[in-house]
Amino acid sequence: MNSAKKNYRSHKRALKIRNFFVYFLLIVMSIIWLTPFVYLVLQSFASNYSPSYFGPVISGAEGSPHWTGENYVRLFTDNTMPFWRWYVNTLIISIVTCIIETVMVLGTSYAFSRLRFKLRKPLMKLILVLGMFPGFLSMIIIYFILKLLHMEGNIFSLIFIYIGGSAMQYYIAKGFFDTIPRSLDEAAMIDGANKNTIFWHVIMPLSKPIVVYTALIAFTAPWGDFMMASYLAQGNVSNFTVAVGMQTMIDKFHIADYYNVFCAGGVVIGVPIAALFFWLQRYYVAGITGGAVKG
Amino acid sequence: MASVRLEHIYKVYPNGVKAVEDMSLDIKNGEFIVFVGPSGCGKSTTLRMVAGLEDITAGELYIDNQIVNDMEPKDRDIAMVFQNYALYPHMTVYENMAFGLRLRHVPDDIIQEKVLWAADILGIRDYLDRKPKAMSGGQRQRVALGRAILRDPKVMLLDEPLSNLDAKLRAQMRTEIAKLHQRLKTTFIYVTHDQTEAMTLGDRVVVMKKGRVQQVDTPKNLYNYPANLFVAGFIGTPQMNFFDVTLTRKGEKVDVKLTKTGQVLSLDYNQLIKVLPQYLTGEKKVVLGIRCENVLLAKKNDPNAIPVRVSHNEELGADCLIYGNIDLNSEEISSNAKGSIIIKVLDVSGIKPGDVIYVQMDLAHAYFFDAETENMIVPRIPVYNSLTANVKTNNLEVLGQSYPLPPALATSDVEGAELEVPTDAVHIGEGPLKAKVVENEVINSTHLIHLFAGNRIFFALDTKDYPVGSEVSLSFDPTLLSLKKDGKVLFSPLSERDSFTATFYNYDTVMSKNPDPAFQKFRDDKIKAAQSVMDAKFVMENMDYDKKRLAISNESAVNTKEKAKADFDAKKQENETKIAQCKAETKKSLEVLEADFKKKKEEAKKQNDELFRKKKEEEEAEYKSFKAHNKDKEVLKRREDEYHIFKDNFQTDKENAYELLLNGLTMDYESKVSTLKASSHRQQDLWKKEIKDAKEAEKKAENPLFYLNKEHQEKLNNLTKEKKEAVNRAGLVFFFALPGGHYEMASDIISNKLIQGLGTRVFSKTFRIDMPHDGFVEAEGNNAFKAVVEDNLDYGKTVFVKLGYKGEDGQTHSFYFKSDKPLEVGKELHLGFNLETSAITETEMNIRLY
Repeated sequence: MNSAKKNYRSHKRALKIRNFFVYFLLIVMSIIWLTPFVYLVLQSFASNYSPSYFGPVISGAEGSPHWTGENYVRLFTDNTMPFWRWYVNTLIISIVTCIIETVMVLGTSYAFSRLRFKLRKPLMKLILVLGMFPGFLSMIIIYFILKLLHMEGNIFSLIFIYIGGSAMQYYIAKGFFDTIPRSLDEAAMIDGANKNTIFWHVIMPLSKPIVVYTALIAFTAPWGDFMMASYLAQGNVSNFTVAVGMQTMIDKFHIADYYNVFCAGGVVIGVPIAALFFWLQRYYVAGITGGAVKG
Repeated sequence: MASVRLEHIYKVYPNGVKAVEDMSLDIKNGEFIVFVGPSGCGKSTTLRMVAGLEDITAGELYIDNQIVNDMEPKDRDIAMVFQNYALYPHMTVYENMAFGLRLRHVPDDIIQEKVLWAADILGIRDYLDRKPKAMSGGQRQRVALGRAILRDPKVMLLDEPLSNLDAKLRAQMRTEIAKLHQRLKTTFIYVTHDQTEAMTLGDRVVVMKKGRVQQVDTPKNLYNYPANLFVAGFIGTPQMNFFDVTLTRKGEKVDVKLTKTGQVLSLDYNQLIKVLPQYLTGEKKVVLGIRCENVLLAKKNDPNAIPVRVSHNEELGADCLIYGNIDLNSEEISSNAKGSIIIKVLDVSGIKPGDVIYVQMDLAHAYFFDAETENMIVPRIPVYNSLTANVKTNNLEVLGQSYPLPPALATSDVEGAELEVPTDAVHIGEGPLKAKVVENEVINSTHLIHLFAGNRIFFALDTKDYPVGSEVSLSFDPTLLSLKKDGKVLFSPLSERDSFTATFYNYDTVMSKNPDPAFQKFRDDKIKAAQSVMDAKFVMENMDYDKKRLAISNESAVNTKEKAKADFDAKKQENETKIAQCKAETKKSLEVLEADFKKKKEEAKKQNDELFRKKKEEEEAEYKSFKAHNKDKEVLKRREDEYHIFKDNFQTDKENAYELLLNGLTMDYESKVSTLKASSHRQQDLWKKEIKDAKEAEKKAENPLFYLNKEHQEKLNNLTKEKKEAVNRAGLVFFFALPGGHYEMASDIISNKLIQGLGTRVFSKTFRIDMPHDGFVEAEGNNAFKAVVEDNLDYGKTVFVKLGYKGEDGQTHSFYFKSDKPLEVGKELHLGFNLETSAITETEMNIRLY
């Protein structure tokens, strides 16, 4: 009895020590991760860049940065760097891509998961392998195709490029659909539903988490893409997306002047993704299939 | 309600595995059929083929006498209950049940009525607004049943519906399903691996094994007359006892010798009267089966007593099972071991494992099976009689009587040969033989007549009874007899059918190879007939249209218009107020609920805080007083530890307790809210629907002629489409190419079956056409099948003419043609095939297609 109590206390001490180390490690890691973000936010409010200061100061020596909102105003009003225009370009491309790509990815995944057709497995493997090559390998041929279609100078051709390869991301959603019991499809079939009804009215309501995931991925990829966008913009400033535009802000000709504006831009770019995430995350609830079948 | 008919159904997977093989079954209207068998026997596959979830490889499936092979599941008008319920988890119970009707565009008020009806039957009315995850397994299965019955399907399919429930619930649901069937009187097809369910529920039970039907019968007959070893072992708990034996007939007794121990039991020959004599020689291996309730405890000196070493006992409450082995030296413990025996007794007191007890088998209730074929050797209806016969100068001496053999059966003299007479080859009525009727036995709808002549009993099949004791005349059908002596066959019946190889061609191919004007004329006539049928439909539709038009022009247009408008306005106003009212009420109730919920939450928190504050105070006070009054160091330290543990866990305990309270409250609140919302929405949707309907009616009244024209046009379009299809279909004519350049037209039924089974592969396969001897007709013209008479087999009344033809391989093949008179040898006959009587088999995978 006595030794049991003794063990209780020593066990508790060990637990405390272990927790201490775990938390210590986590705190160090989060500091390393968060520092760039904090730095970015602070710099976006600084009047000028100075290598000896981490962020703006309220009062300091000559040349020290002070707090200001000027960078944000300049970001949206500067005529040589029409950030506003880039932002709208990117937003349109991302939203349209996001919607079409989500539907296509989910449709492909559902087909691969549920339908049994000839060449299903070879096709799945082929798509998987093709998806492993980086997209820019096909840059030149894509350019020729766009030229044939007279779309080479238009930044919105990006939508076609992005959704063209969208079905390649079927893998994760297919894995999710595979976990939804087939007997639900069959029950719906007997109830009189066709494939379309089954997909939209039975499978989709159960697949909210994967819809959210697919939509987020489909939105963020074009939002941050640089390679294809820079090469389709062809140096035309009004054709830039945010990624391309921001890059020009920090090339060697502009960095001195635009450094803090660039930081402000970085903060603004994060807004839609964060908003999208918070809006979609309420659908991100687990255990939605509970009660469908015997668990 | 409907009948279901399976005809030679096959399911072959692409890798060549035959999941279901040649299954034929006739399910009557309103019958409760149970498929039972071990896992992997194809019972679920069969059910899924009936449901349309699985393609049928070959064979036909009829529901209500309509072939449904290529029909979508939704059009078959069936309902299915799945093993894992398969409820839609994002819908409430109500929506789950209504889903199927919604998809069929049934009006909302009817849906509501039907859902409530089904919910009442199954006792789930209180759960209609719950989601499946908030229900127990039994309730979920009830919802699944409800979803199935409310559509009032022709056939209900249940795929192991109870196997996910616990034992008690399963028994309860079993009764409910039985009651449901009595009430609905729908055809039920039920799949299970549980023989108790099969025996208690089924009107008839289908026992399956490895894709083949073993026996189809009522539960009682399955138990009493198992067709083979498998059925005998599968039906009944505990399993039937099996022993290897040999049977030897000794006069009026039969010796049953246990192979394992060499012991001999004795049995009256009367009980084995239907057994073929070959089993009674003591050479054939036979399996004796006996149920445990027919094995009785006995004394050592009783006749037929067998010693058994007891291995263990099982108490079942009302009675007990004794497990043992008749081989006293056996060390095997497996209950499948040879010689093991299970005995059912009322009381095991005094019997210990290791004891040797004596048992008696009630052999009157024993079953005997062939050890090789595993078939029952005491069939209810014997297939043939084995009689001893002599032949003397072409006279057959059998049953102590004698009559001349027909020329076809001419045989040299022989004594003591074995004559096999199939039971259906014994024709009572007239003939050279006489026999006495001993007994009439009615099995299903067949009458088995026990006859006595020449000092032995034999059997005949007939459609009516004969007075017992009367003497009847009878004859044996000579074409079905066979005679054997010492393993040598002296004569045997011709095989029932002759095989021809053929390939399947379409019309164009045949016309390019053999442009026969008769084929073209046939096709043209067929197309013309289809056209004229469709043209008649056009005339009907036009007449109908004219009638309706006249009726409209006679009505006062203004009156109907105004009435419809007034109706619509009134309905709109009425229902909109109702909807607004309902919305307001719902909102108010929701607010009340929310406020109530908040209040309860706060109360719960307060209560919880108070409870834990008190607990803490008590603990502290107790600890203090303990410290003050106790001086023992050891004890004090222990108490101190306890106090610390209490303090460490205090906060978590408190939070957990609150969480628990909160969870209960939230769940209650949420279920109330969802119930309220769902029922209010349902009500509102109904009212909205009424408005929409009124609007529709008003629109129609506005311009009735326009809508009538539109409808008429639509019907005409449909008819045109239908006509095109019918003509196309009539133009499809297929042929079988037989040896010698003969083309035989395949009827629509045959071509459909072949194409259904094989798809386009049908053209690249060879088929075996098995023709009965009477399936030929004499034909004229160039296209006739030519064959030369080789021989005549004269059976008296009938003559089988042996004909020869040259096959594709250059060799001469022969077949038999049934005729009423002998034909001249060497004569060339011109024949046509009556393919309706044939059996057509695909040769590669051996699938019978017709």
